[in-house]
Amino acid sequence: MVVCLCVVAGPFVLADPARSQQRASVETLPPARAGLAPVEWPPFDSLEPAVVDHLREARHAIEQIASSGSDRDVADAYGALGRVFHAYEFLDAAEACYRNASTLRPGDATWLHLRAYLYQQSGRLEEAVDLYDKARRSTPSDIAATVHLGETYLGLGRVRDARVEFETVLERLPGVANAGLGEVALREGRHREAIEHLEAALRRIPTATALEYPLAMAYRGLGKTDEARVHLARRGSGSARVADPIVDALQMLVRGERGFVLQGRRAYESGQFQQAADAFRKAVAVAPESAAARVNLGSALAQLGDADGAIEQFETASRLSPGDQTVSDALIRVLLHASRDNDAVAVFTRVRAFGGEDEGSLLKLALALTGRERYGDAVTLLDEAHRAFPDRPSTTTTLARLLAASPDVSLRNGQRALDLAMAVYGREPAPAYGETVAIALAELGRCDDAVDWMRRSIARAEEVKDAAESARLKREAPRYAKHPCRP
Amino acid sequence: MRLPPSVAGTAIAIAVGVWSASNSTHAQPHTPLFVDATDESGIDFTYVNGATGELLLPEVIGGGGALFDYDNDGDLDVFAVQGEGVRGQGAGLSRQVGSGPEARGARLYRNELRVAADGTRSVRFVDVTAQSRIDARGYGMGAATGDYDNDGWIDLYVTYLGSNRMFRNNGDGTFSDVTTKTGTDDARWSTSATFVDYDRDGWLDLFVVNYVNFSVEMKRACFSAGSARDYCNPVVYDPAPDTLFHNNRDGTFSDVSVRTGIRRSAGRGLGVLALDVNGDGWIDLYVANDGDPNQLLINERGQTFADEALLTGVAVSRAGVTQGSMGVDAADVDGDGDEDLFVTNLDNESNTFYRNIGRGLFEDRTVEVGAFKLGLTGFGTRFIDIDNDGWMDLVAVNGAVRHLNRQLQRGDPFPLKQPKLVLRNESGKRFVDVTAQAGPSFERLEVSRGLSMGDLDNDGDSDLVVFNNSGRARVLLNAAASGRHWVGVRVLAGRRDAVQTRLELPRRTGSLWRRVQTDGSYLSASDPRVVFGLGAETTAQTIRVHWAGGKPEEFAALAVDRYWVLEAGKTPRAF
Repeated sequence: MVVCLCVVAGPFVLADPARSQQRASVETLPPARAGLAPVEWPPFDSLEPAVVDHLREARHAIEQIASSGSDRDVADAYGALGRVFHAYEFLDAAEACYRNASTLRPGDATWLHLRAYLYQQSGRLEEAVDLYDKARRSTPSDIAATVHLGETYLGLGRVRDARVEFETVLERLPGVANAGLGEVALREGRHREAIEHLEAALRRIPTATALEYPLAMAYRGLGKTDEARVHLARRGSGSARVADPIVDALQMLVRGERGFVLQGRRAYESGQFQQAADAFRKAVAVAPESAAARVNLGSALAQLGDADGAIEQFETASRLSPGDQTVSDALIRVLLHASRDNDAVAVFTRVRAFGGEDEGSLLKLALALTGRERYGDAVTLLDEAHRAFPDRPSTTTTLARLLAASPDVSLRNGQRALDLAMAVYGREPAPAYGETVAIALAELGRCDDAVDWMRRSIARAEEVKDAAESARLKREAPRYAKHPCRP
Repeated sequence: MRLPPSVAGTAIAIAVGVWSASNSTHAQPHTPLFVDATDESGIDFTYVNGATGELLLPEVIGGGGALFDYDNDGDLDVFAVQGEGVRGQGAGLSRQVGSGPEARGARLYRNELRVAADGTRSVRFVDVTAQSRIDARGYGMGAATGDYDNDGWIDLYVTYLGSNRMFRNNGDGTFSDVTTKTGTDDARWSTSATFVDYDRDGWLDLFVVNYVNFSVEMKRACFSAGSARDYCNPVVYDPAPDTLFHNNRDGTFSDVSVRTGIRRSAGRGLGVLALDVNGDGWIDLYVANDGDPNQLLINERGQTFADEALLTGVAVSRAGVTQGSMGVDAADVDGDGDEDLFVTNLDNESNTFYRNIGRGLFEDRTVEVGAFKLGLTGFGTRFIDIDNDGWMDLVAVNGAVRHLNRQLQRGDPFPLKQPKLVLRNESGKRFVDVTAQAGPSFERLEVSRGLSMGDLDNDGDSDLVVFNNSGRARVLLNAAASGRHWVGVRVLAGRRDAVQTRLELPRRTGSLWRRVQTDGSYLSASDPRVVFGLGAETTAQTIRVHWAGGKPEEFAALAVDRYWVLEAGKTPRAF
């Protein structure tokens, strides 16, 4: 079993796999007052204990004051429970709670805002518009509601309405407003205006790399394909989102390792590595024995350039989950990246495996092994990677060269080396790949053929105007003219 | 149309019925667009996902099937791909729905269409798997059809979690497994595939889409935001590269993936469509990827391919966000002569409609055309002129990939069920959701995956077969096109279907454009015939065939309400 490195987004919870019978009824929280709706309760049987406790606490708060509390108190308790459900993405239950809160306290903009956001998340855009508008009227300082309203209008195709909302916040939130107005202009086919807005947004929020895509489309609309390609190459996942204290606070509610890991993964995937590391630290704090939390923290620290911190987390994770190749792979990779080749080789020696997905690390490890005269291990490592990724020329070539010229002659297999080298050269006739063919031929004792392939490689280097490679190959070529020419 | 007994009572309504719309004079609120004829069809098939509670990713991906006339008797037969236990042959089946005959592998059903003297038709399928000698066990995913050896008999390629299989149609009702002989195996986790003559040598090559590098040993534990175990996002697995097999014209294929540049990038591929996007006469490939940007592999004169999806505007959403894409189809939605794209995505993303703005460029116009909708995870999808009015409507079948809270709360053991989606094309301007009028089968909650389209009863309209995961495959007969006229064609290049060939039917109000295709959708192959809906038009029609790399050829005086065979340089013949 591999440790949890993964979370999935969405308002979903899991049935007990062993359960095959449909539940006769769904547990509900009865209405605390007449006129309120019951709240359907998620099944607890597969949730993390911290989450279960959290939900129970919030429920208990309602039950405590249901009969004696004021409408305001009960509304706040429903709202609080709704926020907990919302934080864990039980959206149906959250909606019911917010509705009850608003029924008891119609003027409280917080519950309107949160319900509007919930509708925006789930595609109920007309309802979201209505509620954001009410929230804003109730609390004019709720600038985030105005931005969300603009976003929701865009989702509805009401571009002119969206423009009005974004223009409203242009002075107070210029970066976010420029991003919205750029999208509006792009949809209306006003490409120059879109470029102005989007470039202004990127100047103000350089991390909003997702804006590079609409910017590229705007340049494309002007026929400026080269500029478009430049911006496409810069495209990332960072967004120009508005700071929304009401919504952002939901994330602070999350308890439990899995919730923190989810927060961290979302931040990580959007390139916000510091926030990711913060969330993963919280996960480690509540679950210090979780290898998953530590691997995620290690990955975030590695992205932040903290190699020592990353290594510490991966080493701990490796102790917690000794048979897990995901962990050992991550540890080996970060050790190699930190030029701690001896430690990387030591880990490899212990686990005897390394996944080949990251070809750069694989080749580094292979070189580290050969540098320590562990040629057999290097061949095994490369051979496994070649079987998994037969189309990678660097892996195949390195394997071919080891099979042709390993100082440990017992590992040599000239014919296989030749087959591998020919396959690579057939796909990509680079000079270095031609040289690999020559090395394999030399191992087979076919010196004249090897000389011929060196000539061909030199000619190829000159053809592609690679003077340095040509010179290097010319220096190497005389070796093949000697008989025997075996390396 | 002669309907199955259980729906015969609605026959009169169907005869006059089209979907209701607020301004329609045909409003028939209770007349379904499609009639579920599954029970009477003879197809009793359930895709078995082999789930044992471990929540392994393959359990939510399959399966699909194919509609093709394997015996050349003029009607469409059905091939349904079967799953099994992920851990191996049959493991885990006994605890699930598939302990019955379906567990024996994929099934082939022969269509025994009957046309009575009064013209009424009845569709009835018979399981001929044993006679066909198709032994397609394993954890199946999808199917592609094409006559790779140009012998006039359609062959079958089946994709798997593991080695794929090529079945050659022997022309006598049987098939031979020629996977090894043809060299078309791909041991990765393959999903969709398409036969395409990418180098215009007259022989169909084969493009196979692969998903992720997965093994049971590599399984991950994944969780919902609420901390419960759930199916994983595929991005936790590395993408598996796709494969292009070149047809050597001697019954064998060569893997040219590296040489042609297909392997320059890899995505977690699920859907594929072959079409000439930029009108240069060379067939391009569009790949729908799950969690990676979609790819538009532009064919560079039959030699190499270059991914231009980002610049052309079909890789990601309009916000630049990579989506979880599954199914794909293309058609000329707005009557401007070029093909627009539709891609199905995850339920929190909406499907995407890419409008072709010319020169091979596209814009995401999902919102503008009324196709934006959250809450449905789309898989199989096809453009289809449901009521033969000449405008291409849209069908998508759905089913979540992560547990749905409401179903979970009610103890559903496979809580991924969603309704289907039907969008009506309103004169090329926008789509309107008419799912509620499509029939009970469209509102029924199922975990739908594959979708094949074809005229099962040869009455000139397009019927559907939906392949459900852990649920019965459904046969849905079109009931919306009655009374509308049409002309249908089967276009042949030599002895095989001229797939990817574009067809034009000129009209005073602008041409109707269609394409011969069996691919698109998701894990599924469809009817290669093309039906042009003509509405009230009864006069004989002319169809212009735009042969790939050749000159257009006109076929005139095609009487309506029948099928014709069109071959280069030959007089059309009715069938």
